[in-house]
Amino acid sequence: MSWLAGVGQRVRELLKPSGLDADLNAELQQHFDHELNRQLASGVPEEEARRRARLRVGRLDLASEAVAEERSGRVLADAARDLRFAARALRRNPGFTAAVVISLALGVGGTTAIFSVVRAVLLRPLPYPQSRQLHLVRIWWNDFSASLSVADYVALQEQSRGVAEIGAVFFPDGGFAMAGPDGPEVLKGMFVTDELTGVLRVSPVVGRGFSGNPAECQALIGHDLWQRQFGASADAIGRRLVLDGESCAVVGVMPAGFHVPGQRDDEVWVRGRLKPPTRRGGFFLDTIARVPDTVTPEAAAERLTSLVTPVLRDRYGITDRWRYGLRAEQDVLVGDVRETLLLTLSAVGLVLLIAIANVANLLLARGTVRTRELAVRAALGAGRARLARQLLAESALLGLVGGGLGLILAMLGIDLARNAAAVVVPRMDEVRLDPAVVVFALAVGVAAGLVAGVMPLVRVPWGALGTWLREGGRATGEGLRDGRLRRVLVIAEIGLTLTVLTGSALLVKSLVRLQREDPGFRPEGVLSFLISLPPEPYKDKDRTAAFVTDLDTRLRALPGVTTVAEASSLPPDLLTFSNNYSVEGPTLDTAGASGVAEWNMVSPDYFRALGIALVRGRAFEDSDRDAAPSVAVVNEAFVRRHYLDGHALGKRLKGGDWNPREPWTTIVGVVRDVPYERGVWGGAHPMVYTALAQNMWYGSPYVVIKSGGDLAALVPAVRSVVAGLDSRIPLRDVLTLSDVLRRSTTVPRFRGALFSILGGLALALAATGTYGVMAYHVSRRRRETAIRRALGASVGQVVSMVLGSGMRLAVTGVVLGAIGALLTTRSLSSLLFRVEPRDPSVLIASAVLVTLAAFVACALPAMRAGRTDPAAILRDE
Amino acid sequence: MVDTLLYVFYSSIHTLMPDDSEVLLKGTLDMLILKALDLQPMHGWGIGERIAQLSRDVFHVQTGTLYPALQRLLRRGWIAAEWSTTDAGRRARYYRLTTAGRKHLETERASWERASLAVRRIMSAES
Repeated sequence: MSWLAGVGQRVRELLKPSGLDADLNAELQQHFDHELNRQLASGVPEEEARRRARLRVGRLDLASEAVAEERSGRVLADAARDLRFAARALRRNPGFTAAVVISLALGVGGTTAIFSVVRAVLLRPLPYPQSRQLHLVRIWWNDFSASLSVADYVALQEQSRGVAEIGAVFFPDGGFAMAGPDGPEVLKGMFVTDELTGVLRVSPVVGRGFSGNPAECQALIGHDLWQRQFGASADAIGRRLVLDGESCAVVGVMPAGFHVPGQRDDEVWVRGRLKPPTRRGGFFLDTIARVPDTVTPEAAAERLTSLVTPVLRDRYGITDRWRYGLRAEQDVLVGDVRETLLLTLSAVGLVLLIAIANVANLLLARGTVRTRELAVRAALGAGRARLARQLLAESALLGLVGGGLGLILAMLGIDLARNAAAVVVPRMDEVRLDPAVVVFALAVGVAAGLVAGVMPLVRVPWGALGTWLREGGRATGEGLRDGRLRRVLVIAEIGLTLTVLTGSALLVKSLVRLQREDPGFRPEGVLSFLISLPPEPYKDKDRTAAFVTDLDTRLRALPGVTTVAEASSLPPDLLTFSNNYSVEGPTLDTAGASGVAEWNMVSPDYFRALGIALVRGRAFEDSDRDAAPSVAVVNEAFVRRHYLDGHALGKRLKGGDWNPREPWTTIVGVVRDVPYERGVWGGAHPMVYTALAQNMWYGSPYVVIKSGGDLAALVPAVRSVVAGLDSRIPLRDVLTLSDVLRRSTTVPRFRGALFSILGGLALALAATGTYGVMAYHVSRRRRETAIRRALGASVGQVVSMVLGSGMRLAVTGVVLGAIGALLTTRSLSSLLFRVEPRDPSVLIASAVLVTLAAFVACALPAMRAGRTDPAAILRDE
Repeated sequence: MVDTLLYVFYSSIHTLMPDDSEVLLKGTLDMLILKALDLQPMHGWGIGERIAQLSRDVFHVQTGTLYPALQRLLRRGWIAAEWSTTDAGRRARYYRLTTAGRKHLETERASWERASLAVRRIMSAES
């Protein structure tokens, strides 16, 4: 520590504009005056006396500097001097300096950008106290999982004491329609259970939160909404908001920046009043458990499962095999982005390595040129260490500048990409420039500069500097070793580039495959939106039915509209819920296999509107109404799961838990598979479609409108139709189905774009690096080339000699890079869609691209070598 | 932050590769200055002159060497400095030997004499 204190003392001494300086200068001036007086006293004329005095005294500015050095300690003084020297040397070679700084800035910029995202997203904990204790709870049946049902939640609240604290949110994407002066406004928000804020350990800053009559509608509001709606007044508590047609009391204001895990814009949280369950079903509660540090999530999950199992068996007769699974909330939110980020970070690391190799090459080339300078300075008495430090100072300075520039690049890049990335990367808004990121960028820059700087350092012929000078500066003995290192660096650059490029190409090919994949439905010309009917008066099924029928009829009357349909879920990733079911057993009226499938309640024209092909049987018809026999349409995946012979028509099933009294639902049609959960990438799962008209308890359907005309122009007309039916109901999530489909591929597109940039960067760095080495090689061999030409070598021979030596390196690099790619692309497997990690065409195409780039990089210097005029050069020499 | 990074970087390099060109006469010059001041307090120019005079013009100490050396000796507490007026009525900075400095000069002188005697014996030995 005393060492550190000494550092502090010296830094202070160096930085303070010391009063001693004035004293020192006065003292030195006096010294000079004394000397001058003496010279004058010896009788020489004043001019001559001054000259002699100056000579004898030495330069006063240097003396003053030397004292300052002595005062602040040698180390810092050396550092300052070396850096000044380095800066001067670098300024003298702007081209070289720019090449190095840009290489480093690109490498450091990429690394820093990804690092800052990784830091915000993966490393920084979620913004709740002891957030690592928070876990998402899901039910698992073998490899299928779902959110919790109310039955589960109630049982967990009763049983979980001492194991975990449990809270839940539901319908997190729905939001609420708030009545306002300009018509209904949609507030982002969701229902939360009474326990949630306690589990998150976040209390309202104003108000007490949920309390009193559990049936009363109560709402917590966000800080922004509080300011906007109530002018940040404490009187807000107890005031009422009309949400989805229901009047709710404001009971608390949450702290600024509070959001439920995984949400970004939510600002109202309504008390979720759960009805006492009659069955285990409707799996829609996103349940969060806080597990103490002393218990592992696995143990907690096992304990909760064993506590709840007997309860559910006794109450609802649940006997199938299921268990709870807990996953850290942070991991859930980060999801597959973690893998993308870590892979990107490694790819970016490879690009940084390429940049370092590039810089090392440039420094090596310059090092040879500088041997002369070093030899002269050594001859003038500069110590070896002094020279080595000087070279390292230059590298460090280059690294620092490159790192600083890289930091700027990273920040610009993140700002540009922030909005696009926010859709893909959770917590993107938390990415910012903090001290750790700055230190990271500068440290990576300096480290890269030093690593690159050490390589040429060991190549300086220290012992032979004197000899080198005597031999007229033409000794070439060291050139061989030097050249070998440079060639190795070129091979490494090309190899690394091929590895990065192959990875990028695989991701891009996946993206192309993904976008060419038939989604199973026709999104073109389809507009979709969500309506959510408030309980009053729509808890009456007939009112809901009447509303939907009226809406459907009026929308069909709009110009250009060909089809209108309603559905509870939409492809490719707007799945609202799954349901459990039992199919009929081998004997009539007995339960056979049971399972969980995606569940969609649709109107008769749904399949036509979306162009989902009917494979067998019939679609729903207007006659499939309330009183008619219950019917279902299933997809091919469902048929494959249960009816191995392919005959599904006429088979029967029951939704929900097995209940002998419930009527059977008969399968009347089979349609093509369509993905509903995770887009085209996630593929289709078994799906049961039922008739919306037979399920009018459901009041939040999507509406799809197929039109030959301009969809955007249709929106105002649609809005006024809805307002004409019920002015309280806003249109939510108004999107064309094409947009929905495109949005579902955002992550792969983001990944593809990111890796394309990285691949291009790697290619550019490697090409410039190769070019630099070859150009240097050619310029060094001008004499040799001239002699060859003079002795009769043709232009073609000279060109092919250079080209040949360059391409040998390139091919070696490509072979090694191909091996590297074969070994590493397996780590991309989970990010690939219908492409093998070792896809030969991708590898070959990448190899060809890299070889071509290397060819161009070699061809330019080769042509220059070919243009060598032997006479001119030999005359010069 | 950057300062500290650079400092850590430099002190490590410095420790690994100490400067080898400047160690040569440092100790000797210090001894000569102390010796010059042993007679009486003097200002910088006077010290230089005294050394030149005592060495019969063999050693010329330039300001770039002299003043850093004075700084070094001040820091070690072997000399002290203060501003006062010269005989000619001008202000000048006078250096004087401290007790510690005197003691140090004694030990230096002893070891120097031993060393120089040894060197003389070696150099004058018949081969």
